[in-house]
Amino acid sequence: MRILIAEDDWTTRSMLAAVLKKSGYDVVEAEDGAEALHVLQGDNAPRLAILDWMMPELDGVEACRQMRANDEDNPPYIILLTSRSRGCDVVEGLDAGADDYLVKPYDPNELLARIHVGQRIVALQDALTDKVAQLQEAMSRIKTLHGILPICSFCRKIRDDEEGWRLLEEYVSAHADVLFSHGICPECLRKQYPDYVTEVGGS
Amino acid sequence: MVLEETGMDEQMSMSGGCRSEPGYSPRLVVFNDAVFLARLMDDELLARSICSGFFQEMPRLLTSLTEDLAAGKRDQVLRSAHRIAGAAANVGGDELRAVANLLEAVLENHDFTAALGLVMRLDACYERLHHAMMARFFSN
Repeated sequence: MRILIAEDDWTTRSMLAAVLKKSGYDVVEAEDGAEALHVLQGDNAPRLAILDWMMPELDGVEACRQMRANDEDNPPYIILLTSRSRGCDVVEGLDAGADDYLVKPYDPNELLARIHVGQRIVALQDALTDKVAQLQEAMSRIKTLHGILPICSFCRKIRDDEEGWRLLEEYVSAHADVLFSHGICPECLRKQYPDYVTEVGGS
Repeated sequence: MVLEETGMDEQMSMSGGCRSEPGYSPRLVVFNDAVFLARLMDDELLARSICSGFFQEMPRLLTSLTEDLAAGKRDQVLRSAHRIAGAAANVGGDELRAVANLLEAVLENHDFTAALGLVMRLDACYERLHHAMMARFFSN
């Protein structure tokens, strides 16, 4: 999995990147919020991002706000990693759109555990997106009939808006995802083929 | 392993503002190598690599901080102090981190006189940290 790290301090960024690479992640690095936003809005963007709060150009909280304003189907999971530890800071960070909040200096094991949570959420989100796409595909194939159909009281033809009167099965086949197979019901068999019924002795 | 200790904790507590900082230790150490290594999953090679980068980065930060303070660029100095505090905290430089945090606090109060004194202490703290890190990872 690719993870974006946005952090202006070299030491902090390098230590974080080293721990993530050592744990098997691909790391993309950004030195400020604007660069982070550019990466997250680009093609093949990382699905998980760790953003520092205080960065030049654009801070991490504003980057979160701008990402969430896009209202994407598959938004990235964002962890704010900051030295700001007051309750009001946590509230502001999460309200801006961060999914998680971790205070520096961090414990690498706790950070990795929180990344695992993020991975689970991203996987669930991807699965949900796939299901929605499958459902939309299925819905597009389903034709439904609704409304009032004018039908002839004698021959049972249906009046089509465009093509005049059509056989019932033609009309239904054209407007619903069904096909007809043809047979004869016992009542019609007796009426239409009385000799055959007598010959075979059917009831 | 604590390589050096200073009397910084008493000065810091008297000046106020640092007791409430998260992770504040009543016995500030110059270099807490155990914390540093734990943050790198006990990878000594990686620690040496980070030290080398830290030695290049920190003097640049301290220089720009000093220049910006002389030019009265408070926001820039605040940003640099914040970066120094973050970097120092990550490498286990408790003393340097505490002084940088204090510098942030006095700048928030627009106290430039106190800030000037703290910048000089920052330089001294970094020198001690550099020495301790060199001794731990680059001796022999």
